[in-house]
Amino acid sequence: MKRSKIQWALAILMLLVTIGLAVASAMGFSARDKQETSDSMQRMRNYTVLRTASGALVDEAGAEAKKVARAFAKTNNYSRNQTNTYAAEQEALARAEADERYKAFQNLDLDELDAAILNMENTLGAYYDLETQEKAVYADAWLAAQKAQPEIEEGAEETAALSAEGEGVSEESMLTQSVEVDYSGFVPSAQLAALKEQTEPVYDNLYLVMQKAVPELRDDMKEKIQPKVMEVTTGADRSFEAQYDRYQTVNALSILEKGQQTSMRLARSAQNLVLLAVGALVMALTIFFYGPLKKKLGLPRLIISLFFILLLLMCGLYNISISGMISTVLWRTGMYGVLALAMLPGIQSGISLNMGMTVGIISGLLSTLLALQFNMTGWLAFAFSVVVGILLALPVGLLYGKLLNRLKGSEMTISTYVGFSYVSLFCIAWMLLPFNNPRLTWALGRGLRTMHNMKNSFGQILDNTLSFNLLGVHVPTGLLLFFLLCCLLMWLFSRSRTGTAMIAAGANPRFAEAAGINVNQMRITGTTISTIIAAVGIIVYSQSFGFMQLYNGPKQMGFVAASAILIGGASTTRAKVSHVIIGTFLFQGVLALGIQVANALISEGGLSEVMRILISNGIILYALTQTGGDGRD
Amino acid sequence: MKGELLLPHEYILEMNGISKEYGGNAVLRDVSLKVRPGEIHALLGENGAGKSTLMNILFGMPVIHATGGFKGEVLVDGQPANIHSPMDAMKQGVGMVHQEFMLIPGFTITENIKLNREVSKPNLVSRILGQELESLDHAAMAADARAALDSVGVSLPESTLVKTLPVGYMQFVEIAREIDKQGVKLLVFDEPTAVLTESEADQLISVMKSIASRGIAIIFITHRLNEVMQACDTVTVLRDGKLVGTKPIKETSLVEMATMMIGRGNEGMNESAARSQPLSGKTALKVRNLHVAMPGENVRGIDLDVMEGEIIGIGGLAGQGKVGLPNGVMGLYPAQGEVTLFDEPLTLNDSAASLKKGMSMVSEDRRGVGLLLEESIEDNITFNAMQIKGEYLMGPGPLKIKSGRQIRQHADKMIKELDIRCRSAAQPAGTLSGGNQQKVCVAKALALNPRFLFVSEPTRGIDIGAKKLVLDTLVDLNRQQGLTVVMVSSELMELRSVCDRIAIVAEGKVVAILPPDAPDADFGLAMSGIKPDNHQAAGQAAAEGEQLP
Repeated sequence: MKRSKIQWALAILMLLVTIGLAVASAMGFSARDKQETSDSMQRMRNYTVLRTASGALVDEAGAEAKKVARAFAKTNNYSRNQTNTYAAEQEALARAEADERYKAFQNLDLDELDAAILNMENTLGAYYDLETQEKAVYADAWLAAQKAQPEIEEGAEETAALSAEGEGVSEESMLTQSVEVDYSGFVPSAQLAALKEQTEPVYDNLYLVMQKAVPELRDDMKEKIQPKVMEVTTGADRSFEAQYDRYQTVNALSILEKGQQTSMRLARSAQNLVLLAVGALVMALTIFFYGPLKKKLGLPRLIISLFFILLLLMCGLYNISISGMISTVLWRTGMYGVLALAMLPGIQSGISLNMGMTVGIISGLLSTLLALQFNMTGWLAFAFSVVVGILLALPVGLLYGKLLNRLKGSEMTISTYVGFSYVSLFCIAWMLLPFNNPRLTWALGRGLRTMHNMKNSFGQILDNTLSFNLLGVHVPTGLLLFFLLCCLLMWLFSRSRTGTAMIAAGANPRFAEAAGINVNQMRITGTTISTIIAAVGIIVYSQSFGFMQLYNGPKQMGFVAASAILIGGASTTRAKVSHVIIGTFLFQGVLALGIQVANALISEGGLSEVMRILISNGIILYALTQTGGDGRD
Repeated sequence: MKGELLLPHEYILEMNGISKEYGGNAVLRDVSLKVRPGEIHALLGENGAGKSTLMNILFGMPVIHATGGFKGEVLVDGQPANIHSPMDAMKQGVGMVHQEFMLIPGFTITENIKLNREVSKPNLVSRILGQELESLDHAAMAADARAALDSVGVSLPESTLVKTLPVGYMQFVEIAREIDKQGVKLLVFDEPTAVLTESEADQLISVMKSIASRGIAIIFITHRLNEVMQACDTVTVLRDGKLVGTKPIKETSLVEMATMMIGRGNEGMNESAARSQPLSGKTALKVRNLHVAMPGENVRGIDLDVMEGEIIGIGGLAGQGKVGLPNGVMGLYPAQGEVTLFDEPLTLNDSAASLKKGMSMVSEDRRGVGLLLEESIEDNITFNAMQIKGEYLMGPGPLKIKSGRQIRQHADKMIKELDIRCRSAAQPAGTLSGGNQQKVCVAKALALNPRFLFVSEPTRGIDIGAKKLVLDTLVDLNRQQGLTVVMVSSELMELRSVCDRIAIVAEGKVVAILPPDAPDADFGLAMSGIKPDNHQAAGQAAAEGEQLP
């Protein structure tokens, strides 16, 4: 493997950057353990506590000045505008004056303050730790109760249904939203209450010390600033970064000397520097092994993989839980995997990307509806849905395959068209089909509802099977196993006589004909299998998602599945099982991480929604430009 | 000739000492062509003799200049002509009548003839905005078209849409367009009679003669020696990129022209090992009145008997239908007729049936039909055997999957036997060289253990060393395993070196079956569709005891 000079130079440069960043972060971590650092931290904390206290006084002074100004304006018959301006001016003036006054804290007995704050911190820390524990127990119980009581949120479900009705995209936002636990029913234990009791005298003590430093603090303000003071002294998160950030909100760093400031900053960024070092190392390795990597993965997959790593690192930078994100990615991989697998036999049999897999999806929806109609639950419902779904998809797939044979050469267009029009056809059908279980139909009028909660049928049945937590990562074992089982079956099929014949027919129809293979028959076989897998795929998807979507819900599924397999390295004429697995993981990973990172970058609610749409459709667009596959000649 | 005295130069076109290489392969070596005004000059040669390259040079086709130009000089009217593009050629008065019609079907004859050379007259808009917007002078254009049509003897109205014309007439429109061009001195006809009926061909020849009588020289490229005798004044023969000779027609004969075209004598003939046992004399394959609709290689009623254990060659020029025979019998293209294999009737249009009966084929289209380029060598080799015979599978009942171990064993054996150069049996077939790909194709055909093997163009596009290996393999298979081989090839040399008999196909029919040591003239004549005076050929064949009743 030959490498160019530039490649060497860049790789060495990146390696040097990596080493530099690693050294810096090591320095940062070691600085955390130093006495100086904890002293500095202590000073920052003291400053912050006092600033919080004086902040209340500043507020008060400002409010007082405003009141006086308004009264003055009234006696002098000021106009409304004049009054407002005058009051605001006076308020700002008073605030600035008070701020200046309390900046330099007089009569400061640091030792006393330190002791008081430390005492406070210890007591409050114990309290917070216990509270976090108890709340976690409560949250688990609450979630369990939610599952057991399915129809409790009838109203919420309807709203979700409405928002998901327009385009398939909104469903993405539902996937990324975490469930908000309602803590209104939380009752603290006796032990917790006792701990809380203990904090009171400690706070009284602290307040006395604070009063010494800032004599203007009146007794009546004690209750008012208590929560604020408690929060800055000891937040729920007591990591170095969290403390630093908390104190930095009042710019506590400015009271330190220059040298100390730098070392504190370094200590604060130590963790981020590690992430940057990992990023630089990945870059260095990528540049150094660019040739073999590109050959092995293909450029598109290399880019997507690097993007995936970048997003993971960014999650770290933005304090998004990486283990939580990996859980999400695993879950989404399992959820969408079978649907992406449905693309495989289509490509292999030569009908290109089977955008008309919605034909199969609707068969799966129908069978699930039947299971719901007859009030089936648990594994029986799941098994029933899968078996009936396959039986329903079989004839539809055969007919659809015959149609595609009639229109050879423009399968992509035809299948997209068929997919869309089939969805539209069933939009009518959902209104007319004679389902009459009140759980399925609209409360008023006829027809099926758009969203169906799977909680009391077989929602999460696969996800929860054998699932476990490992290092904070939730592994939906059953879901992943089912996906891998489907992949294994497809792999076995691709090695069977019919399977090899089908792949040959797709790759080179004339070769297949020369071997006496009925190419049309093979295309029908491939289309039918694709349709059947799509039916199973939507059942797996629905149980995992927890909701089944009718009407326009399945419209976009073809694009999502096609994007996944293309990103995995398949071309429109050649695909392997590995492309499905890698592709689904990368596609869903980039999507889930990308949306989280975008949310962190732009916290503005509306904008993050726009970002989310941009990312999900952007990846689909990028994937569709990769129809050439992994570029091996 | 009439125009001769008026023109200052004896030759209207002189191409002197032309040499051309494509990537180190010499395709033309020191070829000269001299054409007098008003003469019809035939350019003869087998496929690959260099005719097209010579004409590409004359027309300054981009492909010539993109591959490093050529050596030698081209003179038009005695002046060095710098022809760098077809446009330059047109300006020099050199025109071409294409084999495929370059006409727009939805336009009238007039519009086609005058396309891009329209006669126009100024109007109000064009006076302001320029010449581009002048109106068409339909009357003048129609008159020009009429004159051009009259000169080629077509009486159809010039306003007829081209798409409604019979195929033969399209050829005449094409010619009329060339004649209509101002200052045309030389016209090249590239196999114009290939698509014409006999009477149309006769008409074309008389048109050519009348054009020539007006002083326009014609270069006539054809395979039909009869037409050359009938129409031409002079003939130039090329072979393997070299000039064999230029002769006036009056001083030559059909037989001589045929000899010049083939002209390798008996060099390197049948050097293969002798057969240990005489042939059984049984008929392996009997073909009666076979028609195959293979575009470009239509078969129009072939009768052929193949003896068990022989290697029979099928020769002929490109496009005459020799490739259609194996493709038709193997069910790759729609076929009609009667075929019996080892006295059992064969279902046509069913590849699986042909393969199951023990026939196998190495396709001429290696990359298109022969191989799955992205799949491994081993999967390619065993594919047919797995599909047809259900071999290389393991597992219970209907749930069989392919057995990687058995496949690898067989592939490794074949790689060793046929000396396929590869890294491993798992290498994708598309990454191999042409010769090695061909060996994989042979291995694939052999994996079926066939009784009867079709090999179509086995040496096309592979280097000399690989050619010899492939041919040796075929001979070995025939000699040691008694495999009956039908070998289709455009290279007569190759057929003569390997085959027991050679059937020459022209215009979709077997013209003659010749022994490999028949005179060159017989082969040449047969290739142009003339049954050779077959006293001696028949005599020789009879002596070998293989002549058919």
